[in-house]
Amino acid sequence: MSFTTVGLIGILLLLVLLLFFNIPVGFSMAIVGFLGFAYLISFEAALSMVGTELWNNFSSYGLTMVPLFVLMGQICFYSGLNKRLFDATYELIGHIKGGLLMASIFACMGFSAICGSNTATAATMTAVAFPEMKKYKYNKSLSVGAIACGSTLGVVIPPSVVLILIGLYTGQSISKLFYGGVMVGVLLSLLFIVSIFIISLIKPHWFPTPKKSGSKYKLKSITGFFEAGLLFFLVMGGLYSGLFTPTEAGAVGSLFALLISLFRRSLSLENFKKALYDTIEVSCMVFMIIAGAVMFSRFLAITRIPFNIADWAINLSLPPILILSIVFFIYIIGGALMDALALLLITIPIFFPVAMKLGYDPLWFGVIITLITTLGAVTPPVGATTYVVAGTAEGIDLKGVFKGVLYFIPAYIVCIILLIIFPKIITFLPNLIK
Amino acid sequence: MLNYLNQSMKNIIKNIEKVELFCNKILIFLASFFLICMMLLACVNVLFRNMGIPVKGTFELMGFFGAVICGLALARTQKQKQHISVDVLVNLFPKRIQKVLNFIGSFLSLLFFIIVTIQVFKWGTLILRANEVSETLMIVYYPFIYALSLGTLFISVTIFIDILKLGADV
Repeated sequence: MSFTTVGLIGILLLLVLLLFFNIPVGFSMAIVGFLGFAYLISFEAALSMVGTELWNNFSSYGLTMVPLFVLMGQICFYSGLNKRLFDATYELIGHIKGGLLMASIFACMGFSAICGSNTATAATMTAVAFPEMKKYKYNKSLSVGAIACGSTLGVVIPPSVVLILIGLYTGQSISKLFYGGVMVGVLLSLLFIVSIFIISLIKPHWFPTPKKSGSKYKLKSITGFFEAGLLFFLVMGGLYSGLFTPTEAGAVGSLFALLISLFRRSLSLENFKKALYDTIEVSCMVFMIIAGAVMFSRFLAITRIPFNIADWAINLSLPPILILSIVFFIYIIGGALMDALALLLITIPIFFPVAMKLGYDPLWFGVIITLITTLGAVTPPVGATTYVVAGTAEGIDLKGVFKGVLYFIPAYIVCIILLIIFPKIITFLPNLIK
Repeated sequence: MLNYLNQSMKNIIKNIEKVELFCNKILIFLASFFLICMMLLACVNVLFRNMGIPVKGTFELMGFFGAVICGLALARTQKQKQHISVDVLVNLFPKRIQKVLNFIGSFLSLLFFIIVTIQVFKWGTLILRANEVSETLMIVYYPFIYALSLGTLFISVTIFIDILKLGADV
């Protein structure tokens, strides 16, 4: 059997383990990597590979930034920072037609700048913003759609675990990927706001009388942005100036988040414990997927499948953008079926060399596939964020959430098209970093 | 008779699970402790480095702490079903077939983690016997490898309990 055939059987086996036997993604990749290595090299070599690879990956300094950034987000989450962010934005723009929805998008954007978790943002935003939306009789589907889509911003706006892993996996600067994600997050947020504005023009009865708030309250509300702004500028400023590495940025951010929470007395010991435990569980899940992905890619590298696919793709008599569009289409479908992180780690060894051979900027490719896979968080059948929103919101089912998400899909599509036409949106800021 | 056997089996599973939960509490407490240490160590290093005195060995200690944190959390993460899996297709099957498929999947995972536990333990023993020390701090680091091996052992136990439960159900 040729190496390529063994590689293809390996990919097929991975899909079988994932889809039919419900084996977690990290375990499946590790099992297939182990079996493939044993078949192609030797059983002894495979045994040695699993032990050393697990240790090498788990003890990698680069990966330690994952628990530290997750901890920062969890501390902010458990100390109620996203509620304060929502209250602040609502006081400021609640008087505009559709202001409540816009406020939830801005609050999601602000919280994404310190926490990379879609589900944490979705859960709290639904609990905080949805009752207000119901109170003011906003259209329910549209309301939950706005929250679900706004929550996905956490994956593109730094600090994002997905961007960290793409950086580590493809050998790119994490700081540059973070800066690449900033503009995409801002652009997508603005497109969501534009969508709300357009809908408010078409269906004005979906947006009841706006809330009126005095300038005194508006001024007071600005303090709600203080903590999030401070943390974001501390992390991004430190990275930009070279004062600290991404790992240290995570640690400093976590410590500051903790100090702010203690100062405000907004984090109980019980919640601090929860933040620690959640951080450890999420990090462990990420570490295991990475270890599995590395074992799987060791096997794939021997089969030379990634390089063969890349060679095959450039020899096709098709324009590069068309080939790339096919890759993006696969990511859209894959993202709908699988968690973004897992999908990226499985497919990057295959598609990253293709994009490089076609001459695309690695940074641009890394950020745009991150954005594309986030769509999967709000599309059926997996749509993790929509499940969280439907589970938290009272008086609306999953179908209603998916219906609400549909109003924001054009924003995603426009964003992707803009990023393809104007790649500088992604590459401009990172190129300013020395 | 069959009912009696089934009840005894369930009691045994319950008792094993109690021990497992207790052990997991200790492991997660240790992991939390190392996470706080990791955060503080990195911050202290930033502070001192900017004063011209970097903390020696920070990078390697952070790596070792990371391995201990995530290694010790493997079992709890499995218990809380936090390891990402793709259940879209499996959910379409009848409940009984789902259980059989999960049983096979868990069995394969168990075999894999038993192999991993043995291999990581062997790797730690090799480092211990070779008296190998870390590059900067020159400290022995086999205890961290053993900690990872302990974590993989506990996830094997957790998966084994899952298999027993599925077996009792099927």
